Amino acid sequence: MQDQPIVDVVGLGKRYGSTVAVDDLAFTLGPGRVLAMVGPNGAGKTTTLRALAGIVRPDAGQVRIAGIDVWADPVAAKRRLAWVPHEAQLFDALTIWEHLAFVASAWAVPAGWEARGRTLLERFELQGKATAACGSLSLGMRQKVSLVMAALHQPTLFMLDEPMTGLDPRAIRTCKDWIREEAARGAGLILSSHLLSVVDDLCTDLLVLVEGRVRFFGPLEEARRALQGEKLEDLFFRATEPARPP
Amino acid sequence: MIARVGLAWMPAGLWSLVGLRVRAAGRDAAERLRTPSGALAGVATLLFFAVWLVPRLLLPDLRMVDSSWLAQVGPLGLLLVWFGQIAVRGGGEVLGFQAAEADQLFGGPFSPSELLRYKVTLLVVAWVLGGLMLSPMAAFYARHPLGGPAATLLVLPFLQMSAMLATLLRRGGRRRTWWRAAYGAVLVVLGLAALRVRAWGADAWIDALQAHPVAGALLLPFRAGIGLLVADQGGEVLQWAGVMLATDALLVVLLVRAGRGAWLELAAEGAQHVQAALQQVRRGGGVGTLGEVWTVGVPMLPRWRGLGTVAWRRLVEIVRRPATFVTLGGVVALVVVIGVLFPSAVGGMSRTATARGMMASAVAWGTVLVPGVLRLDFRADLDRLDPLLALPIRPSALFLGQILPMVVLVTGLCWTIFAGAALWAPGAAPLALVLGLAEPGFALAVLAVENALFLFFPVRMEGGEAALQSVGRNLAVTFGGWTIHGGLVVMAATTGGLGWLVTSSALVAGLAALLPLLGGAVLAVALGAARLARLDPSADVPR
Repeated sequence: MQDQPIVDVVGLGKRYGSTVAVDDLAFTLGPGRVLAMVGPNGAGKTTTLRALAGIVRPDAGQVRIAGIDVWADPVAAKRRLAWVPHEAQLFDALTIWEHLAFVASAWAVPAGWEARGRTLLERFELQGKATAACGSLSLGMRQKVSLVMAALHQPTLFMLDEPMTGLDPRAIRTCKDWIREEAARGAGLILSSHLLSVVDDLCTDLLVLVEGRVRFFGPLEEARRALQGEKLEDLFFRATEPARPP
Repeated sequence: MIARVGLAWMPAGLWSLVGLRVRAAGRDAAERLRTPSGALAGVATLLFFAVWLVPRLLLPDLRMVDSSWLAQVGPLGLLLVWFGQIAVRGGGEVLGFQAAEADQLFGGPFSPSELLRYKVTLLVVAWVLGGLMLSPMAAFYARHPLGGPAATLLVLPFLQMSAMLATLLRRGGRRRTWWRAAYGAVLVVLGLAALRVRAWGADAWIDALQAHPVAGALLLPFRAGIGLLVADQGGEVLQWAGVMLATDALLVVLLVRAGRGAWLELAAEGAQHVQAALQQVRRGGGVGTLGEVWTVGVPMLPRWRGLGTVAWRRLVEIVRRPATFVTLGGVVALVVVIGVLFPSAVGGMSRTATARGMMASAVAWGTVLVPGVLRLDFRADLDRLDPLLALPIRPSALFLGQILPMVVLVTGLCWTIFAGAALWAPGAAPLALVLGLAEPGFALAVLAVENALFLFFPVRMEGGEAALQSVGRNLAVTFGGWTIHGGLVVMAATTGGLGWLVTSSALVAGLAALLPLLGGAVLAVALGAARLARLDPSADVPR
């Protein structure tokens, strides 16, 4: 049971009409691992994350979160994950604290969540804004609120789509430290980002997607060994280079 | 020569932009007409013109104009509209610059005066094109076939340019104070004039006002505007069109002079406000999501498998929006106005019959109109479907949680009106009981049907060039919903009527009416939840 992967994706496929968004995608992620999902625009990263979050129903394949089939028991699977979409939309009329109360209720977080909520707000420098309506917040502030909401119910899996968007340098450092701590706690994290320096800094595994197919999947260490002194950026460009006609 | 005059008016770059934008608007309209829905809308418009408008244009007696009444009251009414709009509309949005224009042009190599000339040029193009489209409609409201088009082309620019001029003149703190004092003085004069009206009678007062040299001069452009509508002869139309054209030309000159000042910040601020409102509407929000947010505390509801959590979130959004209470107040006012005015209009209508009419209108406006105007349900969450679908909550609970707060709100509103009507006219109490019993079922059915329809056919309200298309699609979905509501009302009336005929009991009739409504609501909730379970925001929701 200890070795059970947090994420187990087998043969995942999704089409939109004649467009293939994701094709035969397969990967696993163990506890304490941070997977970077990278690829050019339109590679299928967001579709994959949405399928993992139980939002998009795939045409083929299976997704298991902590051993639970996302489409057989979506509510149980969703209880174990936190999904932070790119530029998350908050509820304008609710205050930051009410967003936390909402998460606590929706995820049935046991009583006493308030202390953890306050600690997280303090950590992301939001303590003075707890009673502010979210409609009045800046992009960076909204991103911080999304991260705090995700962290509140201590999920098994975090899926973070460009989590550093709009954050100031101090908040970026806080976010990085927090990601490392969650991994150390045993959570799995999937991080979709175009910032390869962030990937290099934080991630243990790498998944390169191009046109919905896996071009590289494996531990980052393995990728680094293969690079032989080259930068991660070089690997990215080699892996995502369009195929030339013969 | 023309090129030289054109370049003296504004730089070539701005002329080029005007040309490109006009071409883009034409291209966009042509593309829309090539889509099935666009072609359908085009055919519907042509049919409308053929069947309804053309006979009225050809036969003046069918047109909706009472010339003598309009000629007497119209100028003063138009003056009040004009005064109201320049007094109330004070922000930079009146200057009409879009966010893209503020971003791309305000930092460019153009003087404020050139930018204002560009805006006036673009507005002239919009007035001419828009005026040509509105002309047939306007012709319906005028005695002479040319009067309506001339009024559209000349009066709308007058209203818009005078509001722009007033905004430019009163910018800045001290000037604003001066303008407020001026508005106060006008209100005092109007108050004193109202006292005269009581003494003289309205007709004599208006005649005296128009004969007064100062008031008459002030009223001239407004008399010209109304004169275009009531003129019978072509010569008369030309005369009033000349007065209106001269007024518009004077306004252009004054605008360009006032445009030399520092107004860019005000215009940029206005553009931002308009952009924010447009984005809010694009996200799916109706009237209910616009404006400020109150900080009213709402205690968290019990979880109830997530239904309570979602309902609490929605409830907070509803009670914190002042628009909610303004709309509810508006419905109550409408119902009361009907109660007060309708009997006198019909004559000899009994108190019981009036109360029944009030209750029926409460059901229609309170239950169908309020949720449609406020749209504080799934329709306000078009861009939040991802986080909602990611919640560990079953689709049925999510669907119900989103609509229940509004169901409770409109039911409470209708119950209050029913109770008031029954107290005021005890004879209407049995109907109040029947409607009161059926109302929760009707409200649930209406909200469930409208939200299920929305999830099957999500519409994003667009601004700018695509606005017409999204409005058309939205109207089609709305009419679809109303058809279903109508069917449910007929079924409820049939079962309720049968219950009344058989037992003569209002309680039985109410419960009998409730049954088909609840059946419809359960079906709509099941369909909505099933749709929610399979909804793919990336494919099913328009970007």
